[in-house]
Amino acid sequence: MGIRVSDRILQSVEKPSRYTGNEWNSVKKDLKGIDIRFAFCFPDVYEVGMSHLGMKILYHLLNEREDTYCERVFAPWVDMEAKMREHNIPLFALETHDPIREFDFIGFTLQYEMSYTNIINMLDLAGVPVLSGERTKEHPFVCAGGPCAYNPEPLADFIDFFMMGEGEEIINEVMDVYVQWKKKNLPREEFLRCISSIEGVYVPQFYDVKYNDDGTISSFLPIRDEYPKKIRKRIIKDLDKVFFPEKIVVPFTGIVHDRIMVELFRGCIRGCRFCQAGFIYRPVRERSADRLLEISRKLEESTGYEEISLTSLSTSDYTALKELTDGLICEMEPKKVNLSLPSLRVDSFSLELMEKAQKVRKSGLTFAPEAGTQRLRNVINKGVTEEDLIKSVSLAFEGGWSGVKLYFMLGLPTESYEDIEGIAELGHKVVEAYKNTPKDKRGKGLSVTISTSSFVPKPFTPFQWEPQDSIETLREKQIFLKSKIKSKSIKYNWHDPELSFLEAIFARGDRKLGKVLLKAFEKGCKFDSWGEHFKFDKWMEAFRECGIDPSFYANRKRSYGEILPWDHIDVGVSKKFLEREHEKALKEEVTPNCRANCSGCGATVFEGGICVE
Amino acid sequence: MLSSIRVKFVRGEEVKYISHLDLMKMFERAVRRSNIPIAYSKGFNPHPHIVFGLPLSVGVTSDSEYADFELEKDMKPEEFAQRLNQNLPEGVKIVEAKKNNTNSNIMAQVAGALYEVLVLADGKVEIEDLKSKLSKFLENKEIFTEKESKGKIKSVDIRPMIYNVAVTTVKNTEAGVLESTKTDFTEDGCKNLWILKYVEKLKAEDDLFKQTDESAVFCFTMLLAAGSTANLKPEFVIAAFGRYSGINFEILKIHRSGLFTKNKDNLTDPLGGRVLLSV
Repeated sequence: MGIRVSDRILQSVEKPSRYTGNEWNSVKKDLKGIDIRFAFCFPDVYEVGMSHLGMKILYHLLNEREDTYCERVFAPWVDMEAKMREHNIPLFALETHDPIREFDFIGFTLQYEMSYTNIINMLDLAGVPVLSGERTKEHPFVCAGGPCAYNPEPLADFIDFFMMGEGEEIINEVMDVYVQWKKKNLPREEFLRCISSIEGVYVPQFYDVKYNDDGTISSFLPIRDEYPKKIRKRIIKDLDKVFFPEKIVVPFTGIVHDRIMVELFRGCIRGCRFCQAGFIYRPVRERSADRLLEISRKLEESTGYEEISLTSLSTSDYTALKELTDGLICEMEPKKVNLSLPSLRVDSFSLELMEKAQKVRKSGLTFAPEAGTQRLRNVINKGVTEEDLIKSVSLAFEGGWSGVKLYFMLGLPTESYEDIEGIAELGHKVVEAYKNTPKDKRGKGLSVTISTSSFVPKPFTPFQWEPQDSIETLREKQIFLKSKIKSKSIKYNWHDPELSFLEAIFARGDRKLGKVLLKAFEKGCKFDSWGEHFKFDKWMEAFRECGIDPSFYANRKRSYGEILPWDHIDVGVSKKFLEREHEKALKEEVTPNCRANCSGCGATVFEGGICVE
Repeated sequence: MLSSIRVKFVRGEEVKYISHLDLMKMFERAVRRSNIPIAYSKGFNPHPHIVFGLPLSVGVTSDSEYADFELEKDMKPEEFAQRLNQNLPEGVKIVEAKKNNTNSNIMAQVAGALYEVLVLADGKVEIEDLKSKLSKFLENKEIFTEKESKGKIKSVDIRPMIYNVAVTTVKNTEAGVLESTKTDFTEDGCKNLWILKYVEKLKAEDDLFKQTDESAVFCFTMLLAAGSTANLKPEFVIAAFGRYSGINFEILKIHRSGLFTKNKDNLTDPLGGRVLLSV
């Protein structure tokens, strides 16, 4: 019998439907005959977690198994958490409302570093020991996957095992081993030992880390020979054959991405040097237009959604985009289903497409030049020229658009104040382009928004050795840029450098950070990515009390020879290649995209996608 | 040729936390899933033509909600209801559907609503005493209460919007035994199944309720003005009566058990036009 949260509690919290479940297409199962109960946890609120495509896929994939019941769990918002703690209500799953501490698995998806305290908080709220070493046979296994798992080390103390890469196959392999293990009533370690031989499974407790006096790693080795020295990520070779849900849960309450999402391809041919996704998801693998049409059709029928979004890292790079969008518009228009096309490069084709497909006001178009000068754009391998940008915005203005958002990063390697000034200049040129557009064509009320985020060096990118600018420097740069923006039509937004600083620490952190995370959690840090809950002072206190210098992780330049905390993870892309790319970056040389020319990154080991086309 | 179907539906405990806007969206998606030939509005951003009788506050259940669906093509009401029901989540159910032959939509026609309000009185209160206080309260020609509107607090006379109020005890409940969901203003002891079942639920899951004295639990039944011209929420009546009687009431649950259209001075059934009550 599940936990029954009283109406008195639900009525006292914001958006109670976050906690009640029962949505259309949510999976209901009879517990008889279920061997595995899996709590799929997203360490953020319902509206954010429910928008995540990976969770939708794996939730329905696990529930395809007759022996498994996968349920969803989200971080209760602070008001609900307070009530739960006050009334001793442990964290429960949405479908059955059963406490997740009774489950076989608690699985977290790691989408961003600043969700780590929520993981600890959720385990604590569930009544499960937060430290892996303190769990016994009475407790569920706690596992994790997702993009942040590629540097699993900061979470090594809390997670029993990680699954590296795309989850569709590996998660089933792990479940199969579990069923056998459970039948035999063997010790907990035995299960972990068995799955450690599955490619992509990483069990942190089976590895021993030694450090040099300066805090860097001196050795990282498996404690027994049978455990793999390197853990290679998993990929799905053929996206047309892999499982994709034909039903997805339709929430009752508005969520961040409240629409059907169909995934065009995985990976990205571009290789922008700051972008982790551009390297960890290699090689590029496309789904066929036919299969995408089939998926869209089925999902539209089973959900009743009024919008379909085509998702990928760079929609314009999908080779069958015209065929797909023609097909979708033809089928979906009579049904009054909108197409949403994020990550689309702006050109005449895409503008025409947006005109046809999207019933939205012509308010805002987004461009991401990322850097203000050609020199710096070459450093980061962002193949966009000023000419491209001005041509695109002019086209957009002529098409009636009047709002443009420009995204940049501050603190990129080799950045000078000239590069920053270039951001303002680019903004002014966009304003100029609007003024040069005939009045009868352009939309009314120009608005240009320049947004800058702070560069966060990420593992498995050519910039993984680079220091991040200090908070002070980043702030100076923001003030400088602000002073250079002269046009009244330009609005400038910037990110808090404090949050970027913490991201940089945990993105490239090692195992020593586990105690900082625990300390920060004890000091009440949670929902760090939500501005109103981010407690920078508490974080700095936690670092001080643990005797750990945060700038060692964020602001230190690494040498090529240093053992990096994620070196035992193999994403296909080789360290040598990243080194080469780093050198080229410093020389301001660009690397062509995968489709133009193979640059030998190493992803061919997977023998899939673009590498074998 | 457009045709319109009017349905009566239930909104149960499972879905009572959905806001009115989200409920509308839920119906739109259910209609799409059912392949019902719904008519869309013209214009840049077409919307399905669905009109709801009266929004229901978050947390309130109802066995008498109404909505009009305009269709592109004729459809048998029974088939419409059956197809839609297959695509509605647990807790929402069409219980009746008919061709809508009226000229205006349900929202414009709604004039009255019947509510059951389960309350917990603070302190020792006898039902006879409560009943006499209530009838004295209703003898008032004017009942002023403060209402917030557009950020300003206004004093409003709610008496004209109160058609009838009765109060009963909620005791000796054996949910399941009772069949009737009809409410009788003269009955002694609450007979509304939704309320009785809810009391069982409270007994099971609300720690505070478990400790309360059952004789302090009462159910108010009230027929109030509703709709676009005059609308009174039951909370205001409880608050006003609480002030008048000096008794503090905690509202445990509100359930809507009737929604009525108006024909001259009579409240009528939105589906049949039958006269139900004179006001």
